[in-house]
Amino acid sequence: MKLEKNIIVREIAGEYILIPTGEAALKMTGIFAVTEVGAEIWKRLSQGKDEDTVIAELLAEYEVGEATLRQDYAEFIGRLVDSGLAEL
Amino acid sequence: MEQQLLSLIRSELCAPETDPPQNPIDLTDNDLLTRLYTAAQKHDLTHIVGAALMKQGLARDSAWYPIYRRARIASITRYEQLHAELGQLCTVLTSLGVPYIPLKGSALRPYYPYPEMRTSCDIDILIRQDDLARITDALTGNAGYRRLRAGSHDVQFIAPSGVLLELHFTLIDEESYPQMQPMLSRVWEYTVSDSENSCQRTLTPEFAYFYHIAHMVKHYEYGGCGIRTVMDLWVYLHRAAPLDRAILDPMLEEAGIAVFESHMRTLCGIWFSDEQPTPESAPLYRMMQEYILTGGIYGSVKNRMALGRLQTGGKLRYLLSRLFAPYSRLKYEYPILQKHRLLLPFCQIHRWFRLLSRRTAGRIANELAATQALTADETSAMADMLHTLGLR
Repeated sequence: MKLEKNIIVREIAGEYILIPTGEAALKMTGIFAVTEVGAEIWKRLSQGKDEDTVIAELLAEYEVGEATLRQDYAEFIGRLVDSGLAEL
Repeated sequence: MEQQLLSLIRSELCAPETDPPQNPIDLTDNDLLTRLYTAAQKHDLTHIVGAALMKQGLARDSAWYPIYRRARIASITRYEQLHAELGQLCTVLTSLGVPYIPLKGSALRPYYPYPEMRTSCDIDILIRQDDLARITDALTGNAGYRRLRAGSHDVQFIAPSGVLLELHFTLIDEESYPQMQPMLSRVWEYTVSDSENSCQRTLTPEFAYFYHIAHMVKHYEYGGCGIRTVMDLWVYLHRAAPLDRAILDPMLEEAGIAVFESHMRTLCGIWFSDEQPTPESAPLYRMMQEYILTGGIYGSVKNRMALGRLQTGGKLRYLLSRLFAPYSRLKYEYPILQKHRLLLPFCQIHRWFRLLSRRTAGRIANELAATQALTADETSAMADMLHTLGLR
């Protein structure tokens, strides 16, 4: 999967926002708010980790079942692709 | 409302960790919240007011919550985009081997409690005039910047990301500020190099503060300097590197702005510390407060019109001065005048046709209305205030 470069994750009053910088700022309009788990997924994918590694690390950090987490992961990736922030 | 606005700003600027906040706002008073928002918007401070109100318990289901949420997200977005672009710009300048000095927000932001608190519309960088052509070629070449306009002391560009850059080659317009300009022109004597990058310089604390005061004077004399410049002042005095007054005071005296600095420092103390004016000085600080608060970030039309009349000596003379721009200003709007001054009448006429555009005509209509509405008492009070502050 290829992620849009120059995206920064920031926390604002308990929410997490993906903020485009550089030329990404011209492609992305609107606010892309994510959950804390979404922010953690993005951070790990930005580090080049694959899906299984991301899932394994998050399972160690959060009290959530693997099936639920994989579903959340898939939905999150879908949102990223639809918004142009990622390519499969 | 003004005191509540300043109190909210103070709670974020001076004691962001304090919990619970002092003097909480009545979050059910929609009229107050509306006036606070309007005032904060004028000064580009809605994100700070929003942060303060959220800390005071502004409910998520309040009608104001999404408005302030958007303002805070916008401030963080602006900061991250500016910060990323600044990094790219510094890389370009360093690769050219030219010295440069980040100014204003870019320099001061690290001293704020959090960087996005200090918003900016653009990036300001000082470079040497001799390097301007080479830098322009590099920016408009591979770096993909587009040159927008040239002024008396800077050139404006827009980056591929949409971020605006003002490349300054002097700190102030020489002809408009002859007393400040000699000290400001010595800026390169008051820099230190970054330890890891010899091209990037930082102003010494005293010169940075002096430049800030000079910049405040420029805007104050143009109609208002905005709350943010007073916040900057507080940051310089309380969070940035300590100031050696033995170095700073002669700079201020030489530039003729020591009296202004003293009064502005007092106003800053009244707003953000617990300083109290004397009974004799209280009217002055009330007027300064009203002048700044009503002026917005860059000064209000009304303030500007009053100042213009004071400087030109009357309504008619002021209007004529707006119609017939002096050569010293026109030469930057029409660079050809610098080689062919005889073309001045033609450039004046061209400028009149430009003034007839819809946006400019609307602005001129506002200025005329403001000029008509000014009373002699208002103009006189402003003259007294400027005189007390040591300004023209």
